[in-house]
Amino acid sequence: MYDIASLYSASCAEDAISELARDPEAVVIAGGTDVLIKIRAGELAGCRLVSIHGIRELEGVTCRENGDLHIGPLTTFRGITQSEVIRRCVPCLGEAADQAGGPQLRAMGTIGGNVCNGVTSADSASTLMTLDAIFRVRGPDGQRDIPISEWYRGVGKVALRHAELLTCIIIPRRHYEGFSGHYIKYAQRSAMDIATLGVSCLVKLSGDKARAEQVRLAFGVAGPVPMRALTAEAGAAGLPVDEAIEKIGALALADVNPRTSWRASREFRMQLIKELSGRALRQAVINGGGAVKC
Amino acid sequence: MHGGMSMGLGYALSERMQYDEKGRLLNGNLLDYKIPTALDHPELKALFVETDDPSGPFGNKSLGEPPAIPVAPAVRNAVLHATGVAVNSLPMNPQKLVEEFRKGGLL
Repeated sequence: MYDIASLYSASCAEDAISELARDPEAVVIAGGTDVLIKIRAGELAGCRLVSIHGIRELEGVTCRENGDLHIGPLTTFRGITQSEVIRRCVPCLGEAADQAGGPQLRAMGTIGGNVCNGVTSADSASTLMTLDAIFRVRGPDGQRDIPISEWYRGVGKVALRHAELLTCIIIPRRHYEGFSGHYIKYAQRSAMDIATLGVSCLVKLSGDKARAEQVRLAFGVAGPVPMRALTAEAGAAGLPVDEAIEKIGALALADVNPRTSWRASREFRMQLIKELSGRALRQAVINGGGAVKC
Repeated sequence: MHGGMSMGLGYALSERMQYDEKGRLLNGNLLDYKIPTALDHPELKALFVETDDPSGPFGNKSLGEPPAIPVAPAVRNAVLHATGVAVNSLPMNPQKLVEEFRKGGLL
C-alpha cells in the first residue's frame, strides 16, 4: 500500500541533516499526514524517507525571556492548540491549528510540516503570515532566518534547500503583543475538509478601543501561496472599528488573485474574501475587548 | 430515519460527482466527495405516522428510502421561501447559492 524504499529514523536534528546531505533525493517525514498521502497517491512512490518524528529538540512551544515565542516545528496541531503559551500570547494561532482536518490528523500533523509542505490552504499559514513569523532553518552550511514573507516560492515550494531542516518558528514579541486575532476557515463542510478560503486577521486597537490602529490580514487559497492583503491593511488602519469592518472586504479584493478550480470558482472565492474579511476583523476586535455595532 | 435524512441532506447540499473534460472522476475519494460530517447536521427530528399498509407483509411499510427522498425538495422550498430564489439543480452548495442569488439580485 505504501511504496517506501527505505526509512532512516534520525536521532536528532544534526543526524537528520547529515543523512539528508548524504542522500540528495531523500524526503523528510515528520507526522506523515501529507507525505504518506503523496506516497499512496504515487507522487512520492519508491521514496527514501528520513524521519524526524520524535526528535525532542524540535518539539514544544516556549516563551523566551525577551517575550519572543519559539515554536518547535514538530509540535502537532493539537500541541499548538493545547499549549499554555499559545493560549496566553496568540490564541488565534491555536484556534487556527484546531481547524485542520479531524482529531486524528491534528494529533499527528505538525505545524512545521504544515508550512514546509508549501500549500496555500494550510490552516496555520495565514495566521503565521499575520504574525510575520520567522523561520529558522539549519543545514550543512549552518543556520539562517527566513521571514515568512520570503518563505513561499510557489505551489508546494518553499525557501528550504535540500538538507535544510526547519528547526524553529519564531514569533517576535512585538509582532503579537497588543494584538488580538481571529481565523476563519471556510470549507465545504465543518470537519475533515480543506479550506476553500482561509482568512486570518490581527488587530491592534487604540487605547479607548474605538479605532483599529493596526490591522493585519492574510489569506489562504486567495492565490497560489498564502498571502498578506497589504492594501486592505493600509486602508483599514486608523479607522473607527465599525468603518474598518465595513470597508476591509472590498479593499482586500485588490490584493488577491484566486483561481477557478473544480473545487470552487474564482467568483465564489472573491465573494468569500469580501464577506469573510470583515467578519474576521469583527471577531478580532471583539476578542481584543472592542465593541462593534453591527 | 436519521441516516436517511442525513443522506438526503448530503444529496441536497453538498454531494456531487465531478468529472474533467475527458470524463475522468475528479473527486473519487471521501475528502473531495462531500458527505456531511456530524458537525454539518442540524438536529434531526423524526415523527412516525402509524399506518396499516395492506400491500406489505403483516401490514408493514418500508422505511429505507422514504426518509432520503423528500429532504432535497424540502430544503429547496425552504430556500425559496426564505429568499424568493428558486434553485432547480443539485447540490445547493454555497457556490451555487451565490450564483443563484446574484441572478436573483440578492447579492
